[in-house]
Amino acid sequence: MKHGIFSITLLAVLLSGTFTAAAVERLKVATLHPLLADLAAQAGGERVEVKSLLKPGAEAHRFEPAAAEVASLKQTKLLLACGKGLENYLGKLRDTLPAGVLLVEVGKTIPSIKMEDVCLHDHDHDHDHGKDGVDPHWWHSADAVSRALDVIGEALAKADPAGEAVYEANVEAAQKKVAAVKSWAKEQISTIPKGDRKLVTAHAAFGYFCKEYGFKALPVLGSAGEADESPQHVAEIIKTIREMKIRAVFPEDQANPKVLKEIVRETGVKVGADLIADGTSPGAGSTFEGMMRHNVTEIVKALGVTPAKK
Amino acid sequence: MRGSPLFHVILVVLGLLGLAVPLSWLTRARTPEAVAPTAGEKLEPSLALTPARVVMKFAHAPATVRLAQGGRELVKEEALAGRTRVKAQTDVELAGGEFKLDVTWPAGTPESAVTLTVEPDGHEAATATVWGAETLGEIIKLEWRP
Repeated sequence: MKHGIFSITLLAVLLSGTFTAAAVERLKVATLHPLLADLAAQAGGERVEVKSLLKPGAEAHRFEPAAAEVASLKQTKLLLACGKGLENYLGKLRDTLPAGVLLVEVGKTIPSIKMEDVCLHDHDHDHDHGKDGVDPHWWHSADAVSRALDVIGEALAKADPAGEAVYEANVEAAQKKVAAVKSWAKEQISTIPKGDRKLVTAHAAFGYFCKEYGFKALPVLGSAGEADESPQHVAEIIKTIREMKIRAVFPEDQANPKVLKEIVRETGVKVGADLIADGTSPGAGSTFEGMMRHNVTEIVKALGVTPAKK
Repeated sequence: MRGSPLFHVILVVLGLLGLAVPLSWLTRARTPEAVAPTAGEKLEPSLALTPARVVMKFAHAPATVRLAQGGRELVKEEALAGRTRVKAQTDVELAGGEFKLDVTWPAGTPESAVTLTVEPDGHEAATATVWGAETLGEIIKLEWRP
């Protein structure tokens, strides 16, 4: 009898161990940006284990994964990149990835925006607006993030076909959150008079935001935050701020504020709070919703005619 | 040289015949063949096919959904289990496309809306919203900016 009870108990322990191991066998996903990690976690839910190689607080435009980080992707099935030229090392990375890792450029199917299409000043100047003039910061558009979620959901289903229905349901839930953020942002921005929708920022990162919410952009630095401190460039921005009666300028959490400070000193224009441009701020600042709510709130505080409701 | 002269003649003739076959194949007149457009020859951008994602969003969960594009069935769903979002993949000409949408909702569903969005890769999406009360059969024309 004792032996019988012992055997049953042992069998139960072994079986529960087997099921637990199966339950925790999650799809390993890596990303090259924390915002992608947030989207992948939403789309994947309990079925995925997501890690971002670019950590919150790090510099998106200067990052390149180290050889040890690439080697650590051996068990990874899916690697998500932003695309649109943000990761200029992708070609090299593709050649060095461990076998079996599917690399997906999430931004590839998102329509590109050229900064010159949303830029307030004329384009006789020569400061850089990114690769081929394309703004790589697509995460400032809810429509672009919505497409990205679909791309991620499809990539997860390709890597783990058994979870397809789960991923579809998760993407659908995440899409609703993105739509809610967009309609909240539109409502908030409606308090800014149309003539005041001019966004002077530290670097050329808000092209998608400007297009989606009807702003014109005036970036001080190029799309990768590279400095163009030529006196002509600074003078041109100062002139535009004065002529267009721009009400506020916005520093960013990671961009060099030196030129912006000079512009503020010259024009006396109001300085808004730091905006999150690269989506790499620690905490909520590296999620789409957290980043958007922060940026829209601060922009409306500085440019809106009535206090923003949160 | 030994052997019969006839044998030598036969050998020479066979040798010449052996050469004649490849020579004739190499020198024959060719009729021009139809040439497919090469990669260098660009099609009119609006007529080239672009991969696209199709997304339908429903205000109320439908019972059945059918979506066809130019006679090709893209979606045929009859067990949606409360889903309010249905996706498909297709290819579109940026000049425009026509979609036939048929939807039924469970009895008692109030008048409801469907938004059809088609997102060609790298291009802005085109969207149309149509309404129906328990059933809907609509032809939707969409175009995209190349």
